[in-house]
Amino acid sequence: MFLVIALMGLMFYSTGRPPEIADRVIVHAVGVDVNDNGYKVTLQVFSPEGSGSDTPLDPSKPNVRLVNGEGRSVAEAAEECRRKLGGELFLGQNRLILFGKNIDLSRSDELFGYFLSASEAFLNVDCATSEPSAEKLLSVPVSAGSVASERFVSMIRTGETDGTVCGCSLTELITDIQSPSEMVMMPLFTVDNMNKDAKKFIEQESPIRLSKSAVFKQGKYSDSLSPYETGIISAVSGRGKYFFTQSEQNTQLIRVRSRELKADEVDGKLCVTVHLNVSPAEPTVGECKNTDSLTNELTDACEKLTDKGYAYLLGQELHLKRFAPKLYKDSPCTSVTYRVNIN
Amino acid sequence: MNRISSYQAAALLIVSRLLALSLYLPRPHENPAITCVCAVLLCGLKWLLLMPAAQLVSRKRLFTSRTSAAVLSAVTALGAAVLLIMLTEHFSALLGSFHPERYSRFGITAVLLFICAYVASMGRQGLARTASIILPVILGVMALIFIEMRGAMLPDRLNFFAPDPENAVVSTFLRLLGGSVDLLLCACLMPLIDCRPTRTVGVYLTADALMSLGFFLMAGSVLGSFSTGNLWFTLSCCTHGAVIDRSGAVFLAVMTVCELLTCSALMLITSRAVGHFFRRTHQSTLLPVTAAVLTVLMLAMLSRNINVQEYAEKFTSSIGTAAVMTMLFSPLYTRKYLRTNNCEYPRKA
Repeated sequence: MFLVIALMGLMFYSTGRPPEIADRVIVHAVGVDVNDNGYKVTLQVFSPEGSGSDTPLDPSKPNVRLVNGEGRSVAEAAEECRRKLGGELFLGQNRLILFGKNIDLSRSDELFGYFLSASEAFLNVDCATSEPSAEKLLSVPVSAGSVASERFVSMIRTGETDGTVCGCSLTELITDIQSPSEMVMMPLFTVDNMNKDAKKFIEQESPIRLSKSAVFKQGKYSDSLSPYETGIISAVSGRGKYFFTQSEQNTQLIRVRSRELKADEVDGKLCVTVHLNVSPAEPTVGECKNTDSLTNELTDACEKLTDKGYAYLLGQELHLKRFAPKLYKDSPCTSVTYRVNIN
Repeated sequence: MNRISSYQAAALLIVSRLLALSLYLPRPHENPAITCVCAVLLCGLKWLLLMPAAQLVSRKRLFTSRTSAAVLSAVTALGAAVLLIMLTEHFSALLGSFHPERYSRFGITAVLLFICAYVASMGRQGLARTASIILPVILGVMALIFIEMRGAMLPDRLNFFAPDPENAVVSTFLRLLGGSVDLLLCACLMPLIDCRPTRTVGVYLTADALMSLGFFLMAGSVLGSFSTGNLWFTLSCCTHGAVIDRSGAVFLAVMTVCELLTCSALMLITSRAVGHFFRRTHQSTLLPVTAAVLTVLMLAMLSRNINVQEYAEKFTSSIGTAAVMTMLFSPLYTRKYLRTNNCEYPRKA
């Protein structure tokens, strides 16, 4: 019987040859912009730059190259990139999807279909917005070991531990954009004006900045949030563990140890109280803020965010579904009041 | 030595449950929290069905007439063969979807069926022992992935909201029941367990409830209501931990091992039942013949564009439930048969 299995295996699987690693084009980052023809996709692909040494990889160089493609959908544009590169695109190493500021995220099928259909693509890959365009950001020469796009990801991770950034994965992005409010918050990358001679020397300071968060409403860019607001949102919504407090004297980084939710439905309105057990993230020299002032500060911040129409970012839809499903069924965009209680 | 221990049988059944979880295909925007509740309820229902059957089997050895034994054998062979076709087809469809240009669905199914026949030639003891060795490894790997994914979990995503709750519960319950290959497997294994089949049922159903809870709550807290096709592989595409950078291959390996063991057990049951029906005991020839017949059947269905998956839910749920009901009623039938023939129960060895 073993011979039968071996023969059948040979018969069925000897015709196709899996693509060799050398034939694969390893994608490190994908940029998506909008232009007159539809979408412009910029792929940052791995391209080792040897310096005459034994190893083909020179860590002091970016080791990447950019390829552009255009099409009516991201899949079409990526197909053009594939034709230009002449190899099989491999998205398994993709670390980041960057969207230009002028993108319309509500066109889900055109935008995300390609990433969802690629079996090797990560679904929790980081997503971010770039100003002025994804192509410009990806064309900035940065060197960060063997994978250049790791720089962007490490900037997001560092921002999360600083309480200034709230990361957004592809699954979160798609879920949020398909919700009734169609509101998404993503980290916003910007590019400083570069010195023309910068490429000639060893990089001293990266021109890439990650300081704000972009908010998309109904799929389109509407506003940007400050790092302070982003930190509050990430701590209250449970998506992050750090936030910082603002006062005239100093800023203090706070770490959320645990989080608990309680909700009351009063007169057809939901009031969610978020109990946060916090501690200073770093040893403090000056006075620590007391819990009452921190409670007031966070509750005020949540109130301001709710007034500005950003309750969804605090978890409005999830909390309505969880604590007031009848209310959500009748009106999915019912307003929710947020209170924060610091322990 | 021809029997298997209660823990080994439980291990084989847990592996088959893990396969059912990995093949579970949710509806678009299905709420995993509701699925989790339905899975636990299903465990309760299985408990109600299987426990009395296990107690009856442990007290009385089943004894039936030749005619009824032949009918039972034919029905068991048919049920196991249908389940085998469903499982192999589903598995090959999943694998084929990754590289449709490289792998043919029929090729995967045919090779898998023959591999199952080869593995089944170990006999039930070999299969049960393999399952009991493999199971801790599988559970260890899954626990590691579970721990790694805790950073991506957000309990806020768990809720019991559904636009049409009654419909959601009923359809989810039926879908979960449709994947319950373990019912038939348990009904067929029960008379072969060394001692205390109730222990097997207790261990495997407790593990089933815990695994379902863990899996669906993990899926719900990581993905929310997001789903693209198979939940197992959607979750595997969201893993990016500190120890394992990419867990997709691990998920695939776990599923393949579970598929191999479950399908081998079903292959063994099919060939044994066919052997009983035709009163032939040469397993060495029956196993490859069964695999060959099923392969030809698959080829015939594919050539006529019959999509097996369309009927999968109805068939698997009804076959499993029918098997357990047979188990429940067969001792009653035996009692009646013995009374009418004026003879006694054969004593247990």
